[in-house]
Amino acid sequence: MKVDVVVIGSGLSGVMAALRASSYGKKVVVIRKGWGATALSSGAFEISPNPLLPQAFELLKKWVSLRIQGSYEENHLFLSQTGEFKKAAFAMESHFLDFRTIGRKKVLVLGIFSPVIPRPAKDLNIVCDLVPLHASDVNLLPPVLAKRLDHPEEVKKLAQAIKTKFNLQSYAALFLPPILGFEFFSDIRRECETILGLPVYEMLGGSHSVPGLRLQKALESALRKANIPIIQGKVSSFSHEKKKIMSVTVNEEEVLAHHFILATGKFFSGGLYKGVDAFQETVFGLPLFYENKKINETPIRDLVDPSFSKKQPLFQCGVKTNENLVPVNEYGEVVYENLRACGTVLSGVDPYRGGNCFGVQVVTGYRAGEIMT
Amino acid sequence: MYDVIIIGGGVNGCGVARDCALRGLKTLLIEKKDLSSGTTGASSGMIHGGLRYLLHDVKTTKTSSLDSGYIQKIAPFLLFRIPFLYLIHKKGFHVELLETFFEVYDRYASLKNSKKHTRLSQQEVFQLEPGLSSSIQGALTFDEWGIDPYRLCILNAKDAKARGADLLLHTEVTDILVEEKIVRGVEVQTSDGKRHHHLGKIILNLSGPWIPKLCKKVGVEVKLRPGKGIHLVFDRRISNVALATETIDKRSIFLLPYQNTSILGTTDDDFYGDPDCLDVTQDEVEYLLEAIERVFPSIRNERMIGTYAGIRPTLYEWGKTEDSLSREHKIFDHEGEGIKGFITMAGGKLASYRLMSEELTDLVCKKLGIKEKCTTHVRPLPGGEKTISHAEIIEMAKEGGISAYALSRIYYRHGLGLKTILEMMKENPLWKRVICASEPVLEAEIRYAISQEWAGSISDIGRRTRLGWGGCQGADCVWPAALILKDVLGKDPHFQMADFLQKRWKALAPFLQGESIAQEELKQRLLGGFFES
Ligand SMILES: Cc1cc2nc3c(=O)[nH]c(=O)nc-3n(C[C@H](O)[C@H](O)[C@H](O)COP(=O)(O)OP(=O)(O)OC[C@H]3O[C@@H](n4cnc5c(N)ncnc54)[C@H](O)[C@@H]3O)c2cc1C
Ligand SMILES: Cc1cc2nc3c(=O)[nH]c(=O)nc-3n(C[C@H](O)[C@H](O)[C@H](O)COP(=O)(O)OP(=O)(O)OC[C@H]3O[C@@H](n4cnc5c(N)ncnc54)[C@H](O)[C@@H]3O)c2cc1C
Repeated sequence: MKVDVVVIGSGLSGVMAALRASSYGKKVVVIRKGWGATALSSGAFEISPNPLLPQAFELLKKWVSLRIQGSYEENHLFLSQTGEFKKAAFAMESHFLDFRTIGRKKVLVLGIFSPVIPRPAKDLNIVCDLVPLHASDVNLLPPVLAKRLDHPEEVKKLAQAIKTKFNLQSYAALFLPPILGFEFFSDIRRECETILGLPVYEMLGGSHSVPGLRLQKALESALRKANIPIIQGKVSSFSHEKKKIMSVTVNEEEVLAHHFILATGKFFSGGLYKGVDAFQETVFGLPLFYENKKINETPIRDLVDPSFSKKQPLFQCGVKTNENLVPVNEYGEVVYENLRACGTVLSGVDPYRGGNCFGVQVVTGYRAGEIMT
Repeated sequence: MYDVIIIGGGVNGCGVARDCALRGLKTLLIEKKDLSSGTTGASSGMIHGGLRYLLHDVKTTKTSSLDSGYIQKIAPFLLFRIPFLYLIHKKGFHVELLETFFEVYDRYASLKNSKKHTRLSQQEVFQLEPGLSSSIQGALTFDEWGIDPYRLCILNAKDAKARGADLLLHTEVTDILVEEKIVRGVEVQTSDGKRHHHLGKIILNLSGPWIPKLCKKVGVEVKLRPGKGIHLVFDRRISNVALATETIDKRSIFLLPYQNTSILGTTDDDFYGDPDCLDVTQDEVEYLLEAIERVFPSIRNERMIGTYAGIRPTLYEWGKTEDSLSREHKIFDHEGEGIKGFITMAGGKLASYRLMSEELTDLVCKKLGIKEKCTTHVRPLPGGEKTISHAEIIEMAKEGGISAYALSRIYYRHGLGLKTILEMMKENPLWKRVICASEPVLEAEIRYAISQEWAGSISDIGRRTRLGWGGCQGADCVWPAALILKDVLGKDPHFQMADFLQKRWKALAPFLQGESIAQEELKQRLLGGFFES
């Protein structure tokens, strides 16, 4: 197979890069071995200010048919199922309630089998209880519950049960776990609101996150719409001539291209690995960095803080690039001139405590896909 | 006024408390942390005959084998057979010599319901364990019994309580009260910092590695030769059977499929530090990995999920190597040193806890003029009154609407106690919820551990149910478990969760490698939000 651009990884950054490259008329293919962090994300978009972000983000919103709400100027609060209010600039529409408009009015928050304990609840007037689910549902995971609610009768049943259990008149809004439909979530939420007669919102996703899956699916349908094929498989090797990558091999097939974009995520997604002796970038064997220091041979002990609650250098390490997102070595020299890297595989991007996850993914993906030659 | 006050809630403290209570003594057990949180919880969990001791210490082999038979009778649900392969690595190795050694061990096999050894060819070995290194020439088989040491303690303690004993957990003995060379009782400090006195006629020092420290308080001396041992834990059963092999310094170590995990152990090194400050080192981890890698090459690709360390309270001897130290136990009646009523028991093994407890209780009874005989070798532990067949468990699971596997694990831990847990689920169907999917642990069992077994933290729940000890190391279960603790005991869930995560992180972070990094990355993202701002 021969294309213009190979993107490795189908998370937020990889898809962004693929769509952008394709918008320049390039023939693009996405290779991915599975789903990474994007498919597990909670539904909030954490960003930090970046001049490119608005244009990148607006393009994303255009390409990917997800209704996203928020603003670049300030962070909003989004309620998670473990009770914290997460700060983020944007989130998918169903999570977005501007709490300032609520005042002292009561909000009802229903957890699935475990109560939500909001903290800090500050001036909010929150009442917590459980979703009236049947005991036989006790071991169903959120995506299964969400799929079930894709059926209108099931939505009616749930809404009716909520109506019977709670006196909804005294509440200004209702928060449910993110289970209101898997495929048809916008319609389902509206349907719920109509039956219940009050605004209904979803909390952010926790483990087995439905919003993450919705986002991943939406990204993939955007690829389909743009006629960008996805090859399911792991890149097992590559060939290069001097500083130029010629091809990558996936499922024993060689894919030739002029440009390669690395969007493979960190350890959890498969982009980074620590073997017996050393850290590796798994596809091209690029050098890895933590704060400008090469760490391939660094003992793990020096990359972990003894306190679990602290930021972990281990999860901030990654590939270092020049200003064009081309990976460089410890001397600042370009490793392969037709390779770019974007997303969490980059060093300095801490998807955990940095608070700018999706912002970086979108901007770096946008820039990595800017291929005009 | 108690007849006997026991310091230490390890297997010996719990075993003695049960025996004393069964013989009608007014008994108090005091443990500074949680039951089985000391050496007992750090053991390999084998009720073994002590093959290793055959060379140095035949008496220990015999008594362990005999008592292994008794323990199987009183808690049949809690034991599992561990088939072992003793791997033969080199060509030209004197298999005959080794076989002679195993033939001697065979003599004790019937005492502990074991099978006699057999010799396997290379081909037979590879059929059993395809992942072994091709340099393996053959193997000898033997078997041992495994046990959950935490459950063993809890069940002994529960029976002691049922027979009238009192227990104080998270309570440290800070002083021994002595008047005119006779012990009068103990001073304790509870977890809220308050101090109290408890009076008793006889004080038993069963504090394992802390024995010398407590002896000092009354001016007597028991010298130990403490030996540190560590284990590595892997996310699942990575071998079909247990593998025994040699280290670079010719010590024997093993890779053991253990419950839903595998454990690799163990080291044995003189320990001079404070038993309260125990850390696993990189050096120890590498020593074990290197040794097992020689016979089981894929070990480096396996997912290590934790490490743990403990101190063997071995009797003092000068000039011997750690492994050749005797595993015998000894009772020190300090009356000889002028302190009446203070007795220490040191040494021994998990496998001989019952026998040791019997001996010590005999002595206590003699001193108090009590004639009652020991019954701990015939009277079942709670839950062992009757066995339930696997077919019955499948039936009960169907009826209760839970998975047969989950129920068989509950049966493993609780024996007949499973009926109470099933009853709880019948009354509260929501408690069928799987909280820890790795084990699995259901909500009802967690509530049972809190209300019936003194669990007061997530770590306590882990010791009783293995919650958070599987592949995901708490990623999914700590928060719901913390919420249950809040519901039953009103504990602060954020504190509980942070405490557990920190303990786990400390025991793994310095050794993270391969897939375990991916798991921790996910955990950071799922739970790290709690620690922001
Ligand atoms: C549980 C969780 C919750 C999160 N919640 C939020 C949130 O609420 N807000 C927020 O802003 N951020 C959140 N994040 C972080 C955010 O999801 C990530 O930063 C972002 O999704 C990373 O996107 P990515 O494109 O860089 O990588 P990923 O989405 O991880 O994609 C990597 C891709 O590369 C592929 N790949 C890897 N190696 C190979 C190979 N050798 N061959 C082929 N393919 C390969 C993978 O299969 C995958 O498709 C969360 C993360 C997690 C884990
Ligand atoms: C690595 C390793 C592997 C082992 N493997 C096996 C095996 O497979 N089979 C086997 O038979 N044996 C094994 N053993 C030996 C066995 O674990 C011990 O012999 C046995 O557990 C000792 O129990 P104990 O009750 O005496 O001590 P511990 O379990 O240490 O109990 C002492 C208790 O006293 C408490 N305490 C201390 N000071 C105070 C105080 N001031 N006030 C209140 N409480 C106090 C401590 O918190 C502790 O819980 C192993 C040991 C180690 C280290």
